[in-house]
Amino acid sequence: MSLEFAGNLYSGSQRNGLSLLVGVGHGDRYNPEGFSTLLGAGLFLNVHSVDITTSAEAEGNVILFTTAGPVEPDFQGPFLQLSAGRSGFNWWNFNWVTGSVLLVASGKQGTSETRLSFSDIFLSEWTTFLDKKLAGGRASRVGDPVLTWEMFPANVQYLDPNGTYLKIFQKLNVSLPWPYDNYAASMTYHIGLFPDANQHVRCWGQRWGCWVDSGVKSGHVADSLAPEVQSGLDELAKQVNATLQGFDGLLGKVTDVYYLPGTQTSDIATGTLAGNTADDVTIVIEH
Amino acid sequence: MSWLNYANLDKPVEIPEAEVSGPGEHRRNIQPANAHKSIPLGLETRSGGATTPPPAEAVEFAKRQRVRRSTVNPDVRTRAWLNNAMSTSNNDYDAFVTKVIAYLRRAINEQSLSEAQAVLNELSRTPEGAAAVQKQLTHENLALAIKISKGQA
Repeated sequence: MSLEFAGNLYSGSQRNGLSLLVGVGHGDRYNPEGFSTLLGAGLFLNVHSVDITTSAEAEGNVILFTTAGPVEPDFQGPFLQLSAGRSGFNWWNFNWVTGSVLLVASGKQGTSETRLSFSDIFLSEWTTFLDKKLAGGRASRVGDPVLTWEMFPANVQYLDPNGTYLKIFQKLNVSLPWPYDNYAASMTYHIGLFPDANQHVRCWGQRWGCWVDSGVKSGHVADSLAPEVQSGLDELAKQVNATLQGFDGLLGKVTDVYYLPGTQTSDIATGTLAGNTADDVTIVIEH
Repeated sequence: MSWLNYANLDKPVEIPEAEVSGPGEHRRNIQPANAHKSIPLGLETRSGGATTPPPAEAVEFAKRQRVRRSTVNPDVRTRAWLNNAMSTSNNDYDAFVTKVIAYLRRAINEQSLSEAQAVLNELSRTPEGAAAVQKQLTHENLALAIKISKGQA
């Protein structure tokens, strides 16, 4: 085994104090370090400087997420990304609350990458899809969806804890006849991207979920809503694949697809980025 | 109830100030115009898995896209090299770290890398151990370890 890049997380602001050695191995893409690892190292909510040593093989990204431990999923929310170009050593200090950390290798040697904003390519697709799906029924969309990710989900049924997913969360309103008040509801999809046998990017719908406000009509509403959400998963995947086909001729042979948080459609190389995973996901297509 | 009644649960999409010092440009995504966009509540009434079997390529890709987990193998404490390093270091952190790094330099492979990382991280749980690790785990040594692991040194 060899290393693509390695880094250290420190409790002190000058690369001092308690520390944790982390790294991405050759051929690996990700190294997740959840809150429990940071807790054991004395670094939960206690990381104040980071260094990254990179090789010629890849750029190194250390992403610090402000998550609250067991009450919140790792790798979501506000993030501070520290990025280092190839073949170098860099370090930063900062004022940031860190609950989980994700390392991602990017810009691998000998490859090209195209970066796409999940929001830019998907938002109008979604509103068209959903408004058509809900037309004529009692449920309607409330605002735009949250287009985000779910990375290495622990204890989420139907999802692989080593998996990486794009996540769509949409608030709904269900209007009911008098004397019932409107019911709040929501729907969630998890989809994944992968290179198919022709080395084109394609999508697969992995999981669906819905929530309905509690009340006398909750079960009735869920009985109507759940099948629609369930059937929508495949329909959505087909629609997304139709859009992705439009990129086939532009990208050539796709070898990998991975995700970075927020909007970063141009390579940072060496530098930092602060953002929020609820804002967007950057889909990176390696070809 | 409509979503208006859940307004107090809406969580703004925040991007705190990071006050970063270090190389490169420090960028910040533009705070979303709708800063009170709701974060997913994490509540569910019903859910289900994929409604069609996964494409074979998706399954293969999931296996291929490797994730490195820093899982500590508890058997590392039974390794001869570790027990030898402990018994011959005379309770000196610096000497112990030297022996761990020497073990790693003899052969870098998945096992030795994982074991050395686990031991060094275990030491770094205390201020004294962390100081000893940081003294020797310089970026030059790390860069050398990366090169050795690729057969380039």
